[in-house]
Amino acid sequence: MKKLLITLTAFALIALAACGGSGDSNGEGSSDNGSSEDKGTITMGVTPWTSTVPPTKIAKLIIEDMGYTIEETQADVSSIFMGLSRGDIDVFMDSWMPVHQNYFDEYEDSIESTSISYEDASSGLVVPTYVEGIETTADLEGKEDMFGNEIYGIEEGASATEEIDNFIEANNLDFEQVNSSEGGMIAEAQRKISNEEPVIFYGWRPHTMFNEFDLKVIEDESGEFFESSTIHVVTNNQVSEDHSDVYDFLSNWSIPIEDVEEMIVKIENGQNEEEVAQEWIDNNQDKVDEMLGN
Amino acid sequence: MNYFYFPLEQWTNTFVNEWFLPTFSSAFESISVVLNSFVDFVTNTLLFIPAELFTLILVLIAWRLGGKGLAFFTLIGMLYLGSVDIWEESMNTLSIVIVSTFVSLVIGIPVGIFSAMNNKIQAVVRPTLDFMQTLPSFVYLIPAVLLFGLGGVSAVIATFIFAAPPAVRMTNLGIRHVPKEVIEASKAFGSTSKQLLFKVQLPLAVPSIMAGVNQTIMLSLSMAVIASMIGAPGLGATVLTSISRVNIGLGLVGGLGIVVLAIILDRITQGIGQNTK
Repeated sequence: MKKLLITLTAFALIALAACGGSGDSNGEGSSDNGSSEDKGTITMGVTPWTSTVPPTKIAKLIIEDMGYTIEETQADVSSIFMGLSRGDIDVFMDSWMPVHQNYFDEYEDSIESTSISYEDASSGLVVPTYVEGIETTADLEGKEDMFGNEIYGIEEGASATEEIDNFIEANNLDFEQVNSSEGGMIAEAQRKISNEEPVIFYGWRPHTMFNEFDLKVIEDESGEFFESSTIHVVTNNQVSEDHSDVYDFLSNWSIPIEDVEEMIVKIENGQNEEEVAQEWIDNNQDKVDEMLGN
Repeated sequence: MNYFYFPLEQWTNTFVNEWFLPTFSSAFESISVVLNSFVDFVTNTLLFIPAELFTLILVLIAWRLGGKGLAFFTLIGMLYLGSVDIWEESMNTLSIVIVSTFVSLVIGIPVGIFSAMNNKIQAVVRPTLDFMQTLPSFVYLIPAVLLFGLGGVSAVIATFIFAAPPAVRMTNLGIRHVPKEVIEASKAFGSTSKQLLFKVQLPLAVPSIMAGVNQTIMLSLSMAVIASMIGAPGLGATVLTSISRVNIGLGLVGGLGIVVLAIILDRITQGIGQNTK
């Protein structure tokens, strides 16, 4: 029995090694210098948000191919910016402007926005499509009690939270914002939506909530609130000096928002994150070459 | 090690989404309504009492149960909560602590008594308590929201799961540690098992039970920040705000508020335990 186990283990190990090897060789055929020497480690910040994963994984695969080792540090966004400012983290692929402006003000001496990943990521208050008669923010007036006078938002202290409070005040609405976290908010929405109760909460793209539920974004006619976001790649100041090739690549970085959403859906459906990223690279080889300056 | 694949993740998701939630959501809804009015009642009462009067009452209680030093500390602590402008937040946190401690005791002490009486119950209760105390609270935060909605009720449930075990354990321990001779003596005088429990075992177990109550309160307070991640208002929300704004000062303001409440509640409940000895 024991022998059998050992034999099996040995076979498994060999199979694993073979897989790993073949995976490497067909990784990314077109990169020129086939570099395998270790140029050092690049640390990437990863937030728990769904939107962070696809760009981070794509950039990871490409930078690894340049000969670097990638380390991923999981943390919440404020810790990631703190890490960026101290140089513990080199790259963060998912900084939302103007939502994260407060971090830029705080750390302007040590971090820089390197490139724009994608634009026009819309955000705002959303309701399920079965809620009728609510199309613009003006429709909300006098219908607050339909939603139990509550708007569900994300974390306390987030810029979006402040904006929703300002929005309620500016329009004299009888709403109270209930703050929790992304997960808490989505769970509450899911609870209400499964009973087909009216619910209003904060939504943004790219996010799978738009794939999971039938939602509509309430239009803000005044145009003062909920401007769409621009997603930036942020790096520590040292990166441009120490790892100029990585910096050059990141400063050419861009990805269409539709691609990100598509990848998020694939990942949430259980597909392997790096496989999804590799797929994107394979399908967009021309873009990758452009970013690499080839 | 994956000789076979154990689809725990998929099974749980199917179980929760397709059977558990549709079947029980209305039942949990009514629990939610009851608990919610309880939380609201406590919060409103605490906020209705003028801060000065509340401080006076608390200082008097502290003086009776913990002596002059504690009374002085309570006064300073309350002054702190008022002067850094977190009185309302503190009362919100306090009401969640009060409600979840109450629920923990109402359920925990009887369970503790039963498991002290019966080894078979004990064999089921103990691993359950281990489970409740060690399962990371983030695991049940989202299910709590799905069942009870955002806000105070989910916070009370999550806090209960984490904070109830000491009440059960210490009640159990206190009753089991009543000396055999005492029990034999009371049986010899012809006491019924009811009399034995209420007149002999429970009174002798009170110091141990109060130690459990004390632990329950402390653990409830330590859940304040996590509770705010599911929409409970209070000092936890202040701390979370400070984190997302990188505002160290605000973090300390809220954090010290929790510490002040903790020390006062800890010393007062310890005082009750010692006075009954």
